[in-house]
Amino acid sequence: MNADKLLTQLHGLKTVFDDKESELTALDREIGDGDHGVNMKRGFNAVDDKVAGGSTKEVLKQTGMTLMSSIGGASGPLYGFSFVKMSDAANDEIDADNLAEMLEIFSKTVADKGKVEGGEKTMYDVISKSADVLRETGGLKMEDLQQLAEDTKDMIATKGRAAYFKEKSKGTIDPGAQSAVYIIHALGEGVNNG
Amino acid sequence: MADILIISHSSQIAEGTKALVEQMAKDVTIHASGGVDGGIGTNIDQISEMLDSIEDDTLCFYDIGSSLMNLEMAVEMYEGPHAVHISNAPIVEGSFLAGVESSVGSTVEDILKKLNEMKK
Repeated sequence: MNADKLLTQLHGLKTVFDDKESELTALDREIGDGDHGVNMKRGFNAVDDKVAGGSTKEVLKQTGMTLMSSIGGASGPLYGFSFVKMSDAANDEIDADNLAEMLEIFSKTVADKGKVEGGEKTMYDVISKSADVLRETGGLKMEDLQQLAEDTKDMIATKGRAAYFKEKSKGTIDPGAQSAVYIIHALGEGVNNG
Repeated sequence: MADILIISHSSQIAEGTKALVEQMAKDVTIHASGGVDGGIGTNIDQISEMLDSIEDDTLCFYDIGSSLMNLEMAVEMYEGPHAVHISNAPIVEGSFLAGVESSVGSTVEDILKKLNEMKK
C-alpha cells in the first residue's frame, strides 16, 4: 500500500462511517452516551475534507491530527494520537509486516493513553488482537475482525461511560470495538489489494 | 521561573484557579484553559496552543477524566525547548503551591518534590 492507496482507504472510511452511523449510535445508546456514531462520522468527514496527500507518514499524521481535533470524548483523541504514533513506523510501501508493526503501535498507544487492558470491553479488545490476526491469516478479513468485536458482547465494561452500566453492559458489542473493526479493515484492505 | 499550565473541563474552574494563583504569584506566567465550544470538556488543540506559548519549564495541572489523557498526548507532541512536567496534585491546591514556590524562585525539581507529597 503506497501513500495514494492509503489516502484512498482513509477517505473511504467517510462512506463507511456515514453508512454505519446509526449502527454505532444504537450500540452507544445501549451502554454509553449515544454520540459515537456521529463522532466517527464527523471525524472521517473531516479526514476526507482536510487530508490531501503526501507521504504515508504525512497522510497518517494529518489523519491523526484531524481526528484529534474533530472527535469529542475519549475515542477521537485515542484514534487520532494512535495515527500520529503509527506514522513514525510507516514505510513508503506498507506491506503486511509493516502493517502488523503499525498495529502493535496502535495497540500500545491505546493501552498507554487509555489506561486500558484486555477484557475490559473497549476498542482495545479488537486493536490488540489485530496484529496476530494479520500474522496468522495473512490478512484482516471482516469476519475475523467482527468476531473480535462480537467477543466484547459478553464482557463487562470497567472503563469509560459504559462502566456505569456494569452487568447491564453485557449483551451489547462495545461501540469503540465496532468502529475499530472498520478502521483496521480499511487498512488491511489497502495492503491486500496493493 | 517555572510557568504554570492549568487545563480543566470548565472555563470557570480554569479562570478561577488562575486568578487565585495570580493573587499570590504575580510574576509567574500562568496558562489556563477550560471547556470546549462553550460547554464542558477538554481537547488536545487547546493544550497544544498553550504549550506553544510557554516561556520556561512548565508544571501542568489537570482535573477529571479525559483531561489527563489529552494533556499527556499534547505534552508528548510538544517539540519546543522547555521541559514540561505533569503533576497529579489537585488542580487548585497543586497549582497554588507551584505558583507560590515558583514566585520565590524554587527550582522545578523542588516544586515537583513538594507536589508529590500532596497526592490526589
